[in-house]
Amino acid sequence: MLRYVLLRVASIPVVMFLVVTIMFSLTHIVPGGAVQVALGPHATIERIEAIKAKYGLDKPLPVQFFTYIRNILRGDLGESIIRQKPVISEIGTFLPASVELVVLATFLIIVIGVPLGVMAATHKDGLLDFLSRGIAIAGVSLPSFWLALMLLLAFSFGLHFFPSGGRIDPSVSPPAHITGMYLFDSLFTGNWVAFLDALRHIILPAFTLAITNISTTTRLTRDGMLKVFKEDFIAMAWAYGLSPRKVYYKYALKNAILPSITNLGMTLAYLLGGDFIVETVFSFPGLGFYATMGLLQVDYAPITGAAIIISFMYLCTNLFVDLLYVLVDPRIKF
Amino acid sequence: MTVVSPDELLNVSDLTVEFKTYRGLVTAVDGVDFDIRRREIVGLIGETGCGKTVTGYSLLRLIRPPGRITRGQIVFEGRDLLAMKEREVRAIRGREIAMIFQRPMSSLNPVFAVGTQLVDVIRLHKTPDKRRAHEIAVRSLEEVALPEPRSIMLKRPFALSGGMQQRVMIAMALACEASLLVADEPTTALDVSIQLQILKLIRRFVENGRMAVLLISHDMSVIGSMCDRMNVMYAGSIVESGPKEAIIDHPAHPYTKALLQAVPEMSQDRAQRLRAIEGTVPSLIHLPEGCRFAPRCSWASEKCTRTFPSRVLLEQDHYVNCHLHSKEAIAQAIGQSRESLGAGHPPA
Amino acid sequence: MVRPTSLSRRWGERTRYALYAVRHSPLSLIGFLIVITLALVAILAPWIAPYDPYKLSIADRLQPPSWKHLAGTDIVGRDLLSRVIYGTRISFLVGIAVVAISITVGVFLAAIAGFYGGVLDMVLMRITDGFLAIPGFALAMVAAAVFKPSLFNMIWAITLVSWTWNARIVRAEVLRLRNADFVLVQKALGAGPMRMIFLHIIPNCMGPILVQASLQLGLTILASAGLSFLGLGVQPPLPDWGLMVAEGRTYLPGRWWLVTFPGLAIFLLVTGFLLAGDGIRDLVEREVS
Repeated sequence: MLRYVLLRVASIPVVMFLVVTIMFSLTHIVPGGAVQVALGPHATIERIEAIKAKYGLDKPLPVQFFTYIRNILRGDLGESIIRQKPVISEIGTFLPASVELVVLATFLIIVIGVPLGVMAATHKDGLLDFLSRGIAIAGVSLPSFWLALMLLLAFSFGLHFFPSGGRIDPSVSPPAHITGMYLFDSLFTGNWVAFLDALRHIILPAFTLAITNISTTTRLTRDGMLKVFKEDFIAMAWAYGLSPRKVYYKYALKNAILPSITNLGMTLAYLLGGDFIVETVFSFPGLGFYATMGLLQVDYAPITGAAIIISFMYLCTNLFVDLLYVLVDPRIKF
Repeated sequence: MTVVSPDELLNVSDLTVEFKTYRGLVTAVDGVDFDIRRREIVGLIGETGCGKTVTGYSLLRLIRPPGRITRGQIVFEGRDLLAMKEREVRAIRGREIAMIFQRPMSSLNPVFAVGTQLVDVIRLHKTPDKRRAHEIAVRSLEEVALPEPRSIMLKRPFALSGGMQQRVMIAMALACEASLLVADEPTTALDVSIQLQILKLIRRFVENGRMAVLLISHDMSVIGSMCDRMNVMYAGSIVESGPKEAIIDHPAHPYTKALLQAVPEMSQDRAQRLRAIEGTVPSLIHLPEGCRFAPRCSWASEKCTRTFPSRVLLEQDHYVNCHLHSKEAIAQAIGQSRESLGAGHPPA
Repeated sequence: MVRPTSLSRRWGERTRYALYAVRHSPLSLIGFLIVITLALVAILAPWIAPYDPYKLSIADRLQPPSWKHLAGTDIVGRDLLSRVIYGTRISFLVGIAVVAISITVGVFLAAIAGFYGGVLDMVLMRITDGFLAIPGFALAMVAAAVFKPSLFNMIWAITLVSWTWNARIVRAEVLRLRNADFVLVQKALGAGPMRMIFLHIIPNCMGPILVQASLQLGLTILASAGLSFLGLGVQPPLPDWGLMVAEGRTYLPGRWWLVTFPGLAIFLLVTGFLLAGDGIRDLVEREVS
């Protein structure tokens, strides 16, 4: 068991190395200077050369690669060419917002998705099954940017319930910085005004993220339940006259829920990828927003830096979830 | 024949179960009749797919779509189970009729402790009080000779062996004080040495008057050693039924004979080689008009393929569905032997 | 002649079974219908579309839906309905291109790696892990941004991400079938590895591959719409749905039709593929059981 854990933990640096390599290859394949693109057509040759020299971009590729790796290990993800600021500190300011958003979205997914899946399974082939599967599929097929815009149209421009963007109203000062997550910080310091305002800003993006990712959870819960229904011990439960409620919600659900929980971990990890689109549409200043900005400005350091951080978080979350899985189900032995 | 003797626990008549599949309508059980009395073990034997398990499930009304019980009556202690509402049947399940399944290792919910499952059932049927239910559970575990019952209560099913798990299942039936236990191939999945123990255990409870048992199996040796009476089932209907000794000593139906010949200890002629029954079970969708065993029967006649044999009483409680034993056939045989022997000799 | 009858009986059985399955799953039937209808729209676009999707008409710009322009017009007066209709072509093109390439590459690599195992397999797995570690969309975005955004490059960017998915599934199937009886029989008959892989194992993987393909088609279209929305994919003046939503976004909240109709189209087509994929999955799974 310990061996498994160690093996998994050890695999992370290996995979990260691959990730870094992929990122590096992608950004250095570009013909014509990346710097030139970033600085725009008006940059002078001297300026370009100067920047190149500053970032060591004029050295041969292998050397650049080596320096790159070395820097990463030191925690240096490079600097934004445009803003001349270190990527790592910029990420530091954008990251908590994404974390907050993703956690809230995941919570919504569980709260809406699991009951939907159970309902679908217990009313198999009935209207409720049809409806909940329909919602689940609709969730996936809805382009997130479109759903975001539709929600904005309806609730923000139409009904004025929610603001149209940002994280907090300019007139409200953000709560004291403990974790950088506004909801948590404001609750912790008892700052109700900030809390409510932050909530108003975050609810639409979280909802959008949740709806577009709910389908797997619903489907897994439903499939898991249906599979468990066929098991002998469920037949046993029926044979002993247990009520449907007990059979479904106690005996079946606990067995069925495992796959959807592990998937939830994966969903969380995936969402951590910072849903670029949702954050962009809502102008929500998270990691995805940061990365997208970098992409549109073709500023490589933020792009690769963000991608690397995202991948790392993704891997760690996956590992965490896998270990949790082992803990929850003692039947799995190594 | 409708007089219900006080001894009679269960009476099944004309039970028919159909399944709708994309290939057609499968008649898994067709007009089955049998009865079970208190303090006895009744066997239901047949090969895989003959409908015996479906019959067992029907007793508890556990048949679900695409299956349906389309005809028949199941009278348990004077009440027709098929006429009851679902809620009423649920009160009977476990409390009066209990069932144990073929694979004990998968009959218990793996994510809950054994004790939790026992207590859940006991609280439903016997007493809502948690502590009393717990005690009843422990006591029933003791009765099935499980060592350290209290610690077993806390264990998860996978920590127990197959034999122990099956004992837990029996304990559950005992705890609920069910009067009828439907045992569907209870020992098939267990080691041979454990099989004997479990069977002995079941037998002990029957002899103590705790319950009657419907023992479903494909294994003639199990049925032969355990049952007081047995029913032989083939392709959805019962072909022969009667007291164990009667059937084993003079089996009437060709299928029964073949079954017995396939079991070495029971074959009359020890010198003979084991004979497998040739042919395969007919499709349950396209059932033949006449006797279903006719295609594989060495004694089949034209009448056998044309008409379905009706039930004939051979001797005390011993019935068979076979044209060979119909009154006309016997009369004919007697007539023929008279002719061959000449008049004056006593009939065969 | 034994083969023809058994084959035809098998197909008769399969059709009967397929009809039964479809009848019991109206959702997947709807999915298939949607896909086929939209495919027809794509093919017949020049005949169906009321206007030329590229024709500008400044005088008619930003018109709400009317009898003249059923879906309204955009900022330069192009008829939105015609653009949405022609957009179907782009969506199908991207979807089919990406899925076809992904499957080919994925199947090829995974089949070989899965079959031979050992170092080859390990290397492939690590590479796939590397790609999978970066959330798909992020990788696609990076790739799309790095190379100058265009329809062509976007296809490659998305393919770069999705081949790993195919590779994984095929590999799992190959591993499962590698030691199957019928494969060993072939081996005993002297079949070479290439023959065994491509003639025997791969055809038996078709089920999961088909399921995956239909889901992938849906997700690819979503991804391409997203990338185009961000400006990293299809470039104007091509009538891509995602691009149209982006173009219309600046005119919200007033001119809702600019955003609503293209988005609906995306939703419809993706739903069609996903439902159809679900249906195929049910079919395949039932066949297995």
